[in-house]
Amino acid sequence: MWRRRRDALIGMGLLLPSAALVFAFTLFPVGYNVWLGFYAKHSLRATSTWVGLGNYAQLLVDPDFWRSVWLATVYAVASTTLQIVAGVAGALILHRRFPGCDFLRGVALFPYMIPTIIAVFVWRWLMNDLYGVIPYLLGTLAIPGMPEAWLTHSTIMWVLVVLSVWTFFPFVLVNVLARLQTIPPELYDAARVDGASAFRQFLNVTLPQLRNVLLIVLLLRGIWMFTKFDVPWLLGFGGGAGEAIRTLPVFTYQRSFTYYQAGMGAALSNVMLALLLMAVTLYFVAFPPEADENDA
Amino acid sequence: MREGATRRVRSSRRRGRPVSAAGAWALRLGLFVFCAFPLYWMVVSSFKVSHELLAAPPTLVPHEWDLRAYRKLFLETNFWTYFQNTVIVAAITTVIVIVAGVIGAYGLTRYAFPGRTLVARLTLLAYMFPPIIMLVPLFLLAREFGLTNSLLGLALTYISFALPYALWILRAFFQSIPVELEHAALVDGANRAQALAYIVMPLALPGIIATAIFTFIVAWNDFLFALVLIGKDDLKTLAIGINDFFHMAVVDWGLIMAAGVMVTIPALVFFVAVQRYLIAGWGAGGVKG
Amino acid sequence: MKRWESDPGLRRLVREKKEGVLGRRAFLARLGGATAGAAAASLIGGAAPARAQKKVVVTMWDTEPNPATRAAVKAIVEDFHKLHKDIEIHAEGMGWSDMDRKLQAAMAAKSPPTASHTQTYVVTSFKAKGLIEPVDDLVKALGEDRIFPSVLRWMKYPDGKYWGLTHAWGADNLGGRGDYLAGTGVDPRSWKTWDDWLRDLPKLNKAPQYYGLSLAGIPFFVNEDVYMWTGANGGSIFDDKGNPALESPQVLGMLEFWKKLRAFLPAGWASHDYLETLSAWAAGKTAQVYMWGRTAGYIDQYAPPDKRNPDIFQMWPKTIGPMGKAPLTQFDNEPWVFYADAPKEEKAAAKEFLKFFFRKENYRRYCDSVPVHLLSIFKEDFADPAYMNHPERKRWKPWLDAQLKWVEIGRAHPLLICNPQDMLVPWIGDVAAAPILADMVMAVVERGRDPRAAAKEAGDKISRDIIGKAKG
Repeated sequence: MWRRRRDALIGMGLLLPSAALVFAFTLFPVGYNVWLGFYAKHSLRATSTWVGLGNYAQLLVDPDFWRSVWLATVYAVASTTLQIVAGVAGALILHRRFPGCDFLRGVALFPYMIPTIIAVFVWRWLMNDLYGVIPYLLGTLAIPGMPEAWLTHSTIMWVLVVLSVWTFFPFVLVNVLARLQTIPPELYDAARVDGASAFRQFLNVTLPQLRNVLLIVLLLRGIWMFTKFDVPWLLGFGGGAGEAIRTLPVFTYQRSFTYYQAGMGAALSNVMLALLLMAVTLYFVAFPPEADENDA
Repeated sequence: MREGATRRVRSSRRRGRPVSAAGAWALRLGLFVFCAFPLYWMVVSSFKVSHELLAAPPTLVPHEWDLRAYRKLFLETNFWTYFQNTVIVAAITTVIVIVAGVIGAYGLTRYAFPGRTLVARLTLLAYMFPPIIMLVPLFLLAREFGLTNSLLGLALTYISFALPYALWILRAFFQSIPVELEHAALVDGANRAQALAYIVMPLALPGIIATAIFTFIVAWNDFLFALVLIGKDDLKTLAIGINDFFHMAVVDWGLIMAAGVMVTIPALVFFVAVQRYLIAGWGAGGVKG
Repeated sequence: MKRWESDPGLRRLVREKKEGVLGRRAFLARLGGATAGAAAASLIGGAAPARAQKKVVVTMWDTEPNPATRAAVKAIVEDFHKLHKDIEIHAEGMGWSDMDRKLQAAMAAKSPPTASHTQTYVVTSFKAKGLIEPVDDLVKALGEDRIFPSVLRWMKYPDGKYWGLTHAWGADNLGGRGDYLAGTGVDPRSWKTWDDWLRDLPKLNKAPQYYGLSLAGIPFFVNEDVYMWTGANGGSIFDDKGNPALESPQVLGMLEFWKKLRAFLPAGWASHDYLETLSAWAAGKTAQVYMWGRTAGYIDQYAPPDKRNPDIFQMWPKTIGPMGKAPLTQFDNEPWVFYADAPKEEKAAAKEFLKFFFRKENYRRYCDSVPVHLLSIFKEDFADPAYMNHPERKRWKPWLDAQLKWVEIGRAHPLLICNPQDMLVPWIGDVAAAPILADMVMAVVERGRDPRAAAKEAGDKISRDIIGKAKG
């Protein structure tokens, strides 16, 4: 008995530094933020005024807020879907070994590893309407109706999506690749014996095996794309053509640091937090984590 | 009959039909171009002379290779300071996260105590928290505690993002190491610390390396918190330092691309070298099932 | 006597003593330092330990981050340190947006720099909050009558005091490519009105080879065109009480004008930064651009060598809107301001430094770091052959003349100030930082919204998010 007690104490003791750090820098700030959402507060001055649900009431009737929610949704749905398609395709390409396989795996991981600022500036340069190489190459194809410039109100969202897919699909790729390598080859042999085509094999063997990993990747990427700040901000600087990619996180940043409305910024963060918790709850209700339960 | 079919399939898989082999190489090439072309473009742009940089049509290979942008980067900007600051912040973050994470994950997996499942769940939830949610409170708290314009303050912020993930991934790694091995060592007269040092750590090393790399990347890549927490030029990290190049009176695309290359090339070499660990680490710990 | 005259450091020291800039004791201490070297300095330092030990550290932020200017400032600071061993100047240069954020944070924390550059509208806002103090003593020490009236005008407030001291000035101009005029029959000198300009713009637009005009789409720079064109159309974006006046016919006319210009802009203009428009002009991608003197640097970097001259890169006139009487341009005139919360001895030392800085030989070095952009605030310099004959100023003489003309006619106004009385509106800075005006322009020009509806929406946002919060 005393041994179990001692074990429990040691276990908790070992966890203490992490728990303290997570509490101090994650849980406490989140709680503080919930509280801040009820105040009108200047980001830089010390005073604050209790406004109750005033911030949220103002948001409900603010068309700019709803537009930012809509833009964030478009961005999250489009970029997450394409990341998963590109990630799975990339993983299938890299799954079997071939000469140069390790090199290509490294290259494919790379967009995820370079700092966001570099990724965005390189794409701004690639897509620049006056000097960019991609508008130039697309122009030589002479496709009717091809936009002359891409960083404009009507098309900047697509640049944002493509750039985000480029940057983040390696996350999907690596997760899927790791899972692919644990699928027993016998499953494929059996399918092949039954005369299944490569596509059938993918549908009947690979996809069911990937189901769980894809679901969690979908959840994580969906949440992270919806709340992504740096990519849309650095691509559009929150104005000009960037007005067309002023997603909810960019809107939140501008409320907090260009209008210095910290209370409103906190309220907006809380909206995102609530959406996140809803998504996670829905997810775990729909897909109970059986595998995880017994080893926890 | 069956046996023959199996053999045929096996042999075709080994040799590969020419058409599908060409198709596979086309796909590989496509993946390579998609991933590498932007990087290629960054490199060649950084070596072009100014008027060629803005020439129409763009040249795929520079006519004239020029180091102007690099000279400017190192002689006229604070790039080197930004680089050092970024390394310092990323290193502080990584060391703290790995030490706290290894200890915590070991506690989580080797000692039974009430609520540890809940703790594990909470770390997963905290891992999902996007940085933007913490924007306002961390900024206000950092100001309150005098942690703005401080590399340590920045590192503490990154720890809050990286530690939950590190706990989660390391926990999975420790779980995959059979407890029996440790018990055997204990029976042989080793103490807990020795068991940890000689049995658990070597087996968990790939996972620890992977976690360290991911933690480092979190700190290396962040833009948002460096933007709101750092104002002093000599404390800026690469992300905001390079952002400034864009708004400086001396801005030019060649300079920005040169900065990109200087940040990217050492990392590229590194990642190609360690990608085995990355994929193994990610697969075993990052996502389960 | 001969010996000290041959030493520039000593010469300066003696002159400072004569001019009364240095006290007797300080003069003796420095003299000792300069003549007998470190040993003597430490001896005299021993006689006055408090002075020698405690250095006054002065923090000064300016908005000239470019390397040539940094080098000039560094050299001036080093020379100043040689004369004033008890003062340490920390001069840091940064971009405007950086400065704005740092200032806001520093003010809130009550730890401002000793002095800094800022914008005219920030002077108004800081003055209203009691955060800065007047600098009449400094202006008088330099000599009011030496400074351009057009410069003084934006430093002086209705209380009769000077609340800032402009470091250098420049005026925005319409730059045009002379080589693109050939065969078009266009004579820019004949342009008076927007209609004249719009009539000739199609002839200067050879898209996609080059465009008629380049504008920046980043909010801060969209603001510039909003107020310059509103002002050229005889209006303002604020009414007498400082409330937004965006539904006025002058502002609506400006928006309609912008819509017409859209046809001659690069398709991706809305994402162009101001600096990209300058390189586009230098590289020949646009016939015209709103530009500053520092564009000369871009021309030397991006234009072919045979074209780097004012015959190719010409100054064309800015035009007047249908409701306006005179064109309006932007005046780049960031003043030095001194912060109320900074320690007294720091401010005294900073003023000492600025007196030294504005002395001819030092100020010249500063102005010469961007010769056609950082123009001297002293009238006399423009009559001084040494100043005017700087090779760059000689080379870009038409650019210099164009800028001087704005100052002569008094139609160069600081950012977002259409009418002189707008200078007293305390929330212009917040309007400048917010993307509201740019959103209005984008809604009309890029998304095809009705100008009146977009203007009303923008006005409501300024009232709700800026004025409402400022009053509340």
